[in-house]
Amino acid sequence: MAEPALLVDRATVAYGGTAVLRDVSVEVCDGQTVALVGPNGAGKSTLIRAVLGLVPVAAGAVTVLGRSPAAARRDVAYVPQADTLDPRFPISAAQVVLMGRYRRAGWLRRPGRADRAAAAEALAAVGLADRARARFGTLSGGQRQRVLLARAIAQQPRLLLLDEPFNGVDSVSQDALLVAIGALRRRGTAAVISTHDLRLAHLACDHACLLNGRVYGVGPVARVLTPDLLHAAYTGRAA
Amino acid sequence: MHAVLIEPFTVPFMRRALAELLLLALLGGVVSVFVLVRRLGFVADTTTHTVFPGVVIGHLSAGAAGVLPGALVAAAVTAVLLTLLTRSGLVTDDTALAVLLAGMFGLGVVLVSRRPSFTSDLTAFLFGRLLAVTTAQLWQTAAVAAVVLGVLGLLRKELWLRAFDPVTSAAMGYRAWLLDLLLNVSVALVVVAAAQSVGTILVIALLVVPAAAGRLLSSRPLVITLTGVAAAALAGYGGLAVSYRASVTYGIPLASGATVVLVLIGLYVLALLWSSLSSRLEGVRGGA
Repeated sequence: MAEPALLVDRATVAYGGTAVLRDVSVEVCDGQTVALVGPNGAGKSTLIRAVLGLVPVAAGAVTVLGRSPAAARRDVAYVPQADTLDPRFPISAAQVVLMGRYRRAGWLRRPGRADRAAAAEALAAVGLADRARARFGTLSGGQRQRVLLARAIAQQPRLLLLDEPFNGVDSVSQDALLVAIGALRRRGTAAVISTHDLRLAHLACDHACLLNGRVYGVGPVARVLTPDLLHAAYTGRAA
Repeated sequence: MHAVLIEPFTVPFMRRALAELLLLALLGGVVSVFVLVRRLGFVADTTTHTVFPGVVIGHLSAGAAGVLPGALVAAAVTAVLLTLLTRSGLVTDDTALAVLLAGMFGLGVVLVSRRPSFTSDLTAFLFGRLLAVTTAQLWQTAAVAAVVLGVLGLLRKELWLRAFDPVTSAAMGYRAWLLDLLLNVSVALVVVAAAQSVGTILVIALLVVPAAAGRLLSSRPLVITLTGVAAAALAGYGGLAVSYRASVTYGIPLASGATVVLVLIGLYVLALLWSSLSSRLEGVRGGA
């Protein structure tokens, strides 16, 4: 069997001496979509950053596509929360999506015609082809989130990491995000989606990882997002 | 009209001053766009104050020929310190900058105060001698402009991504410290280039105002850049012409560098009025 897209093996991640995540193990295979569920401060974003190689792993191991996180970056795409980005920034939706092609274009080189075509296609995949020229900040929160997903699609990643993509997103954009994520899954892309919306976790994902400083449950959505386990994770008691 | 706009520039020193300002307009116009999107206004202001002691030390040790090397060393030290300080997180950015700004500026003033010609030297170091620009200085400015514009031109997409979305930039594997260092060095080099003509203090106007004015009129990076360069160039030309006419014809001595800055600020205010007027008109149309 092929190696998993993401293998987190008893990983401990610490910020300034305090462990944020302890002994976390989770596996994501190609074409699998895993929901990362837990309360605020549970360490969901930290786990995503560890997979991106942006925070060091103190103990255990994070392996991405059989490589170290830093070595796998070209095949990993990250989708930040749209509201963490400055809406006044002078940039159009199309330019944001084109950023997904920068690594392929290489240092110093401008993105070419093929890159522009890939960016346009990605923007169409999230249903925003007609907003290409609009300034990023003038779009609604949900549309901005879709533009950021389009940028990740343009990267043609094998592993996709989404940080709270459904937060403050209207239902039209939620549907568009779900459709685009579904299309990626059928193409074999592995995905990790952090969310605290259980309904969307059920809709978007086949597996779940219940997190609050440590793993409270991992496996198929229906077996993990149960009232008992959720209660344990959200109250932080031993399950 | 001819007497105000053309005649001043028939004098060689005025032509050199104009050439210097046009080069600085190009440089400042482009660099200010990155200062704007990275919100480096305070960082740029700190650099203007930290290059000052370098200018003083250079002048004290080797006369006029020492100014450029002194400024370059101070600029390099500042760029490295700023990059390290803002990355370490030991102190908040603002505190680190204020300490650096006040400390280095104080050092510069103490060094100048030991000289008998204290006041006139201080004025020259802080506000430059725009009308005394030499051909050699013009070449220095042109060389700095070529280096800075080359670096920023080649790395503009990486710098743009870093400014817009720093986490994704890092996630894609771009080294933040390297991009930050290159931008800080670029800002410092603009201060160095302007030190002898506009002075180390007023150059902050060139590093902040052009793109800020451009941003009021457009949200497209290319338009912001071109508008910024044009505004700075126009301010250079207009400021020189006005200060020349005022001193030669009316006997009112106007400091040329400061006049240029005031014209630039004037253009910024015009852009501000225009932008608030047009958004109000849009509001009326939208509300009707």
